[in-house]
Amino acid sequence: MKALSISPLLLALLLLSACVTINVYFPAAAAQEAADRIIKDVYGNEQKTPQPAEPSSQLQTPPFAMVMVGAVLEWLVPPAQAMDIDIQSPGIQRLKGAMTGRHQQLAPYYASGAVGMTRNGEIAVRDLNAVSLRDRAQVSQLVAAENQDRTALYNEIARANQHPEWADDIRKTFARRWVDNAPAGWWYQNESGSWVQK
Amino acid sequence: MASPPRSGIRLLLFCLLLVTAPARALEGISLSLGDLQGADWSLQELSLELDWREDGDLRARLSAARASLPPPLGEVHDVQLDCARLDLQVTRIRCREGRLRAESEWLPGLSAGFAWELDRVTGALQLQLRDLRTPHGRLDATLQLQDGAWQATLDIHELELDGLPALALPWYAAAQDWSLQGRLQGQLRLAGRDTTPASLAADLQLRDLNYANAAGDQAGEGLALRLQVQGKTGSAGWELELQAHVGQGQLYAAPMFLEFGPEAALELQASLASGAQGIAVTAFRWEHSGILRAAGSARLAAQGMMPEQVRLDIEQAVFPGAFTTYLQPWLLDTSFFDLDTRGELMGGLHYQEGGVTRLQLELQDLSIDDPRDRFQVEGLAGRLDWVDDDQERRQQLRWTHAQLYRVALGALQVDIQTRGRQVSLAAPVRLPVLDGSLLVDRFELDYGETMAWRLDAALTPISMTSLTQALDWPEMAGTLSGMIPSVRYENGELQVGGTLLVGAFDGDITVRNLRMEQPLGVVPRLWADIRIDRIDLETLTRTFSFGRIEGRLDGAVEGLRLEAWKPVAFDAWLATPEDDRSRQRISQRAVDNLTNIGGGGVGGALSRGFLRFLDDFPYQAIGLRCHLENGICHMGGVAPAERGYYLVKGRFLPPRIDVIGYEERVDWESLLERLRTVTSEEGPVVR
Repeated sequence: MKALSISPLLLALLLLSACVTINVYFPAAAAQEAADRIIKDVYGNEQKTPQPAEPSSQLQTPPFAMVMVGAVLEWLVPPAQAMDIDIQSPGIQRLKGAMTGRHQQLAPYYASGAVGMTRNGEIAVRDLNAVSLRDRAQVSQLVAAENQDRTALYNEIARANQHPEWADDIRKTFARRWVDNAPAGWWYQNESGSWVQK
Repeated sequence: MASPPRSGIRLLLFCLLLVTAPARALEGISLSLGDLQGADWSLQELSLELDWREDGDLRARLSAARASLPPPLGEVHDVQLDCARLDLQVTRIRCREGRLRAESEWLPGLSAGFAWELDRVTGALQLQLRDLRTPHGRLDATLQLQDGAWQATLDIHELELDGLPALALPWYAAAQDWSLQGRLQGQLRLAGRDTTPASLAADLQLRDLNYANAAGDQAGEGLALRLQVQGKTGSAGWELELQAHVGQGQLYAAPMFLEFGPEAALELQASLASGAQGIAVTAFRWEHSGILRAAGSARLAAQGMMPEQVRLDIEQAVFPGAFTTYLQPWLLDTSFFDLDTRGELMGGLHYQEGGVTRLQLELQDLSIDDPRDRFQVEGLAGRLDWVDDDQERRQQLRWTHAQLYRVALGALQVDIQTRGRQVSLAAPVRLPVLDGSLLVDRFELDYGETMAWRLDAALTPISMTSLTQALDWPEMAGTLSGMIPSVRYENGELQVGGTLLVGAFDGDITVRNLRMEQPLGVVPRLWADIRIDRIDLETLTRTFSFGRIEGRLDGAVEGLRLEAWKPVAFDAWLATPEDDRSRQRISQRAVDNLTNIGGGGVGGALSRGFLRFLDDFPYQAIGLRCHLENGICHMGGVAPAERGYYLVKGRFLPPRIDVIGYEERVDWESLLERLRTVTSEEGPVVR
C-alpha cells in the first residue's frame, strides 16, 4: 500500500521533469518535415519520392505517459511553438530562393559526381577532374556560395524559431534529408566520411 | 639529372673495355662471360661474339639476357649491342653501323643505330645514337667526352609524353599523381664536366599538351607552347634565361583559369638564378595579349617554391579580361565575384612574405557594375598609392556617375588621406544624390583586422518624387532630408546615429535608431523606429489610390524589423491626432477598403442602403493598429468596440458611419494581399 501511495507522486515528479526536458527537446519530426519542404523546393521537380526516414522522435510513438506529457505540454506552451518549425521568414525564403536558383547550375555537377553532399549538410568538390577547365573555378565558387547559404539557412531557421541553439540539430537533419531526397547516382559522404554513390 | 649520364658513361666504358680487350686471334670468337656485378648494376648471362669481316674490320656483338641497371634504366632484358664495323687502330677505335636493341617494361622494343669513336691519343670519345626508337617516339642523341668534359645533344623528332611521369618516379614520387599527354619536338643540349652539368640549351615545342594532377587543381588542355631555355651553372647554382610562348589551349591553376588563342597568347620571359636560398627571378615579363602586360622580379623559397618577395609592375590591365582572368578567382567567396567591369588600370604591387606591402593603382575610366543591381560606378579614375607604413599620403579619386540600390549618385571628386590601413577624407565632400546631395563632413575607413568605417553627413532635401521613382515605389510628394551625425559600419553591421527626417505627405516622418546587418549580404536585416507626425491623409490616399480620406494622421512604427527588406516585426499605430481641426471626411471607397482590411462590417444608426447615395461621410477618428509578430498581425483600431475595434468612428450626428474590425489576428501576408488588391482596384466599388 505504501508503494502505491508514493508512485503517483513519483509519476507526477517524473512527468514534470519530463515536461521540462521535452519543452527544449529538438522537434526532430517537424524539423525533418520542414527540411523536406525546403529541399524539395530547391531540388525542383527532378527528385524522386524521398525515402521515409526512421522515426527519431520520442513524440511519434507515445506510450501512455507520453500522451499525458503531451497534454501537459500543450497546456504549457502553444502547440505551434513546440511542434512546428517555421520556415516562412523572409530570410529563409530569400536563402531558399538563392539556393533554388543556384541548384540549376549545380545539378549537372551532382549528376557527374564532380560535387557531392557532405555529412555535415554542405556540399564539396569531389572530383574536379570531371569538370571542364573553364568551369572549375565556377564550380568551386558555386560550392563556396552554396555552403555559405546553407550555413546561413540552418542558423536562420533556428533563429526564426527562437532557438538559435538548434542550428546544429537542424544542420544534422538537413544533412540526412539532402541525401534522402536526392536522385540516385548522386554522391554523398557516409558516416565515416568516405564518398558513396546513391 | 646527374645520375643517368654518369651511369651511362660507366656502362659505355665497361662495354668498350669488353670489346677492346681481346686481341685479334681467330676468325671468330664466342665468349660466355657469365654474370658481372657492380655497385649498382649487374649483367647476367653476358656473352660476346667477335667475327672478322672480309674487309678486315671486326664485328662485335655483346648480349646480356638480363641487366639490372641504375634508375631509370632498371630491369632490362634481351640486351644486344651489335657493332657491325669495329675498326681497331693504334690511334683510335671506331665502331660504325652499330645497332642497339633492348627490352624493358618501361621501354619495350627499344632500338637504335649507334656509332662511337675513341681517340686513343687524346682519350676523346664520341658516341652517336641515331634514330633511337621507342614506343614513345624517335630521337637522335650524341655524346662527346674528353678529359672528363662532356657534351650531350638530344634531337627529339617526336616524343609522346604519356610515359614521362612513370620515368620520373624514381626522383619525383609525386609524379604518380600526374597524368601527362602531348607531343614534344626540339633540341636539348647539355654540357658539363665529370658529374656536374655546366650549361644547358633547349628549344622545345610542345603540342596538344594535356596534364592534370589527381586533385584536379592543376591542369592544362590542348596547350601549344614553345619553350626556350639557356642556362649555365654559376657559383651558387643555375642561371637560366627562360622564354615561353603559349599560343593555344587552356590551363587551370587553382583558382585561375587562363585561355590562350591567337587573340590572347601568353609571352613569358624570365631570368632565374637558383641558389641555396631559393630561386631569384631577377626579371620576368608576362604578356597576356589584350588582357595583362606586367613585368617584375621575385624570389622563391627553396622549400615549396612559394614566393617570398615579389615586385610586380602592371603596365596595362584591360577589363573585363583582367577582372575575369586574374581578379575574379580570388573574389569567389565574396559578394563581389561577378562584377561587370570595363576600362583599364596600371599599377604596381610589392609583396613581402606575409602580405602586400605596397599597392599602386592608376585607374583609367574604370566602370564597375554589380549584376544584382546593388551598386554601379562609372568613369572611376584616380591614382592610389598604398604603402604599409605610418606615413600620411594624399590620394585623389573621382567618378562620373554612381548608383546605389537604383538611387543615382552624381559625379564625385574626392581627396583622400591614407595612412597604413586607414583611409579618411582630406576635406568635406558633396555627393549628389538624385536632386539633392549628401554632405559628407567626415569619413574614416579602417581595414586592419576587419573592415570598419564611420561617416558624419547631412542630407540636403531630396524630392520624394525622384526617390520613389528611383526605387520603383508609388510616387510620393515631399522631401527627404536629415542630419546623419554618425553612421558606423563594423562587423557587418551598419548603425545610423541621429535622425532621418522625411518630409512626406505634408507631414513629418522621422526615422531613428536605424541599424542594418549585412546590408550587401543575401539576407540584409534592418531595425528602425519611425514616428509619423500629422501627415495629410488626402495626399496619402491619393498616392496609394486607396479611396479618398481627408484629415490628418499621427502614428508610429516601433521596433520595425526588416529581413531581406520585408517586415517581420513591428508595433505600429496610425490615428487621427486628438487636436485635429482639419476637415475629416471619408469616401465610400475608402470605407469599403477599410472594411476589407479589418475583416469587419459597417455598423451605425443607419443601414448602408441609405448611405450609398452619399459620396463621403464625416468622421470623428480613424485609426489602425498592427502588432506584427511571427507573421501574424494583431489588429486594433482607434477604440475598442463590442467584439471588435473601431477603424473609423463616425461623428455623433447622422449620417453616421462606423467601421468596425472583428479580426484580432490577421495573417500578415494575406493582409498585404488585401492591401494590394484594394490599392490596385480602380474606381469605387459601391453598389
